[in-house]
Amino acid sequence: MTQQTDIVIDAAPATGEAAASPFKEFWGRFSKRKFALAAGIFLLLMYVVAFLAPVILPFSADSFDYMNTLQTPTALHWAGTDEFGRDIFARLMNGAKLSMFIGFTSVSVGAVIGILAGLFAGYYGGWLDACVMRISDVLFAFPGILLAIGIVAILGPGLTNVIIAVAIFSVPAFARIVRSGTLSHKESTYVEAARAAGASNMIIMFRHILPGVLGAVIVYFTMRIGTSILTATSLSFLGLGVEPSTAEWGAMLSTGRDYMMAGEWHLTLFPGIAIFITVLSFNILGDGLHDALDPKLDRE
Amino acid sequence: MKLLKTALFSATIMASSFGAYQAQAAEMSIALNQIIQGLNPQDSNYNVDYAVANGFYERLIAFDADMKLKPQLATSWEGNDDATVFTLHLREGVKFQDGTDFNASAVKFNLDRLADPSLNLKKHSLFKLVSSVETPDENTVVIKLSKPFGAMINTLAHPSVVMESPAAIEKYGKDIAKHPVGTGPFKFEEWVPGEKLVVVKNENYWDPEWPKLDKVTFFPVAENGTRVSMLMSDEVQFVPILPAELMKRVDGSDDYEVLEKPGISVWVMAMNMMREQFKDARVREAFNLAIDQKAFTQVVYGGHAIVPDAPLAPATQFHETQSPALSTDVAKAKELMKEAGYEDGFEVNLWARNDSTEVRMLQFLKQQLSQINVDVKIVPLEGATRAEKLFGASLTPETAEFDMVIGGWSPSTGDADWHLRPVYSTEGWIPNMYNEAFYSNPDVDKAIQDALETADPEKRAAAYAVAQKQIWKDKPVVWLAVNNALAGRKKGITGAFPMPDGTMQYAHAAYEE
Amino acid sequence: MVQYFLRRLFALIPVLFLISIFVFLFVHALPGDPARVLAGDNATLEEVETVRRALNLDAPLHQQYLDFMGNILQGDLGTSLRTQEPVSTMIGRAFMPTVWLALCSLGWSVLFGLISGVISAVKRGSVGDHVGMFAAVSGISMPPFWLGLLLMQFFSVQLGWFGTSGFDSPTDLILPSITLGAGVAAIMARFTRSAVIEVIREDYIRTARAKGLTEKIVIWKHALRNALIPVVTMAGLQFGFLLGGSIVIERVFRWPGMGSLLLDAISFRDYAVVQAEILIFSLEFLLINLLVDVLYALINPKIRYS
Repeated sequence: MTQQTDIVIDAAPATGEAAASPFKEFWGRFSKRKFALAAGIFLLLMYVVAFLAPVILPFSADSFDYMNTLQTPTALHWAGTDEFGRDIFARLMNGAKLSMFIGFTSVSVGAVIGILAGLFAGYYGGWLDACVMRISDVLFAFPGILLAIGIVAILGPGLTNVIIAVAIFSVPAFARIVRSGTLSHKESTYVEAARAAGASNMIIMFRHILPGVLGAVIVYFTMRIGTSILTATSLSFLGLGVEPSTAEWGAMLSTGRDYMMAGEWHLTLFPGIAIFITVLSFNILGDGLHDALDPKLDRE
Repeated sequence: MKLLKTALFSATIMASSFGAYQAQAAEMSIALNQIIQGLNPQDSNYNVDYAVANGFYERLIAFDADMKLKPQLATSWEGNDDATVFTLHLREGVKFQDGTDFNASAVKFNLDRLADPSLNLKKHSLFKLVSSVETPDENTVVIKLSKPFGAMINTLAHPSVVMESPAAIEKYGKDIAKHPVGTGPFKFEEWVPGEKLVVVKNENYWDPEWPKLDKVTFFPVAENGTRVSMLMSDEVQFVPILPAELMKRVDGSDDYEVLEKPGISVWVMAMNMMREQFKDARVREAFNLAIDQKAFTQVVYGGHAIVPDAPLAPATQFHETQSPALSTDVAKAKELMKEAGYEDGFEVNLWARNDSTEVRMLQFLKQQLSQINVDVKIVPLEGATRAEKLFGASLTPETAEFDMVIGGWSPSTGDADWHLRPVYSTEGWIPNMYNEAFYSNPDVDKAIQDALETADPEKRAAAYAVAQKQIWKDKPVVWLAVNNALAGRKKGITGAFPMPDGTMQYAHAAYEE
Repeated sequence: MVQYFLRRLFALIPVLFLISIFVFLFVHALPGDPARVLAGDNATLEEVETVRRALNLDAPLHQQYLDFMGNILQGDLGTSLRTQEPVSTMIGRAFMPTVWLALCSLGWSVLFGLISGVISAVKRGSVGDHVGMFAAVSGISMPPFWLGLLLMQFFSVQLGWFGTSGFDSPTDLILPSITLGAGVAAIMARFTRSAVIEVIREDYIRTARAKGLTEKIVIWKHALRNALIPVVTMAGLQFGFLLGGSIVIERVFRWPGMGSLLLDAISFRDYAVVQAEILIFSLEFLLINLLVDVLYALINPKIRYS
């Protein structure tokens, strides 16, 4: 388990005036990045299919069939069946929703707390800054997976606790990104101007500074989803993940791994590929967003 | 030039394969599923500790491959009718690995230690009833009990009751757990906790025919797949605990074989009888009827298990087949639920460990019970958390948080007493012992007690028959399976095999000529 | 410089203090009773109480913390509840295997990351760039335990090239470090790429080009050297993560390191070992961080910290 660090993506420095239509400009740059575009479309499509799956497929993720366990892929069972005779494809689709949910929720929770902490710490400085940064040092110094193991061990396994565990260890990185962005934006001319015009601290922070650092946050957010999905997988591997009958990819991969060693490859191959492609897509999408949101890169 | 290279190459191959052959001829490595806790079985409750100790320590009485008693350091034994005095005749000419004589006083030294509460040995509980150990001569030991205990001989065969060198205990004190000195065919060489244990040939073993191996190395390997991979790549030659789902892998190969033995672990789903629903015998029966045990053995153990036919496993002493046999009848189960007033079912939680086998049980049971509208919340628990929540000292029947819990019990003494008493007697209620259903039936308690007050096998059998019959009728648990002991072994090895109680034997391991 | 270093070192003290409290509370908040676990699966209540007496686990919490801190300050990490060994001995045994694993993983992944990062940066937008980045990103997209099991299946069992697990010879390092380094390689490649892209745009590179130096020299000598500073920083940080991050991989490959020790200690609620290990992990991380910062300031005197 390797953590991605915030060093990769730093908040874009304050550029003074915002462009006429920042979104149009962003889209212009982003749409040129074919891979990232493809990754984004893929993720959207998968999500749509996941929601349609119950309608299309003749199986639910929880239809047991003890007469047909451990079947290799057939025309009926596209990805075969697992040790309970459940249709793996149906479970994968259900898992897509779950894994996305875990990824999105945990990173969102982490991001919201991190953004608030970083914004306030960076804007007010002083003891608040020192406090926030020390706490984030402490959290950073903990190996992420260990923190997650500890939290789940204390709170007990289950979906909510896995989300909390993954969320907590996203907080310090977001806090740092936002703080460094806030520091550089704080002194910019348009913030000075806003202040001169009598805007309150809150208005300055949320109206003027936050949008400036949001780019970096979005990029990190995207990549972080991938990491979160992987962390949830590792937790499942250690027996600390979501309730094992849930069709979550990590749980499928982890409960299927003994079968994999026995030659029943399809139990882990498909969830493994699903995780791989999804995380890959988030990372590629994140890379693309990063390039598209960093105006410096296209100067040439 | 090319020729030279080829020559060199084949020389290397020959040298290395010769080396490998040499190494193989005299050494064996074993992959364990757990880490070794300590090397003093008297102070351990872990099967893995007992399993490795089988090479360097010996007991007075041991089990053969089918859990039948066999002489080891004692050649014969007898008890009085009241089951209060037991006499053992010891093997002559045996020495501990440090040269100390094995004799009656060494046995007394060990048994006195076990019976001494101040030493805090974990298996002291087995010897609470010992009032004195006498040594009428060099090779005879007489054990006197303060209260009748019909299961005493089997208790002496418990894998923790090993004979340790008195001189070594004097020398090392509590550290004997790091420097074991016994009478076994192998002696201790090196232990790196969490990593490996090495034992080597005891040149002065009392039986000149054994051991055949020069060295045995144990590796604890938690990950099932890794354990099998080590076997398949000849890094280890024996895997004493092989999950059923991985069996196929070993079975399909030319060089490795699967060993399968009927086990003595009975897997059950205990129903917390403090709960209103489970006080109702109809509900407990409905649960037994709703769950398809045959399918359970297939799904969980790939068919390498049998459906229980009594509270005890067939290989356990005094087992008696009960009728009617377990059957599955969802319609009847629904009817019973309706009669009991639970037509629409109810919600219950179900606890188990978080290992892959028990997690599979959880999912299966959840699905089966959904057929009678019972909504099961499954809770896989990490070991230490489970231990505290299920067996914590402060736990009372009223505060227990679980509704149902999965457990497998295997009596290490191979005797009915150490199964029925901990799991089904009133004195066995958790956290005291392992009665997780809080089942209590005075007739059962009395039968279990009756069986202890005599050493006569026929009387004991009769009493246990009464107890088993009553338990079978009351159904405090849903009986699930008796799983076979499965192991993987390199072909050409003999004498290393899994035991029905979850331990193993390797003292007589050898490569076939 | 020295002053800066000392000030930073001094600033570690409150963080470490916070961590010690955090670790202590964390360990004691874990549900589960060590006496129960140590007594074993089939222990009776009586046997459990025997263990509790033997281990002396009855002291009040604050007392236990004071004892813990007192011992730590005297350099005593305590005794393992489980094996009765000094914790320092256990950690001493597990430390080097983990360091080796981290070094090996870092070694190949930095090398790979640098080369593919530079190539990608130079050939920006080309097929090579896309393929390189795709390969790199793949590294962080695989569940590590799955990757490890797959590698073991293929290279150890099918091909028989390496031992499956354990650490008995240097070749045993290969598979675990590939697994562990995959993520770092990806991060290094992306990071190098953006660092080099940034540097290429700088004026002195333009000057170098204008002077007519070959593209090779411009890139590998001038651009890379300047891009190296942030890259080294990053590599240092990754090393800190690797040391603590190999828990899952150590489990898969039965690596006799800190991660395996920690998992065992957690499952047996071996408080002393868990506390000591987490403290060491954190200390390592903080020190590496500090070292990286100091190096950074040394290499690049322009960025002096105020």
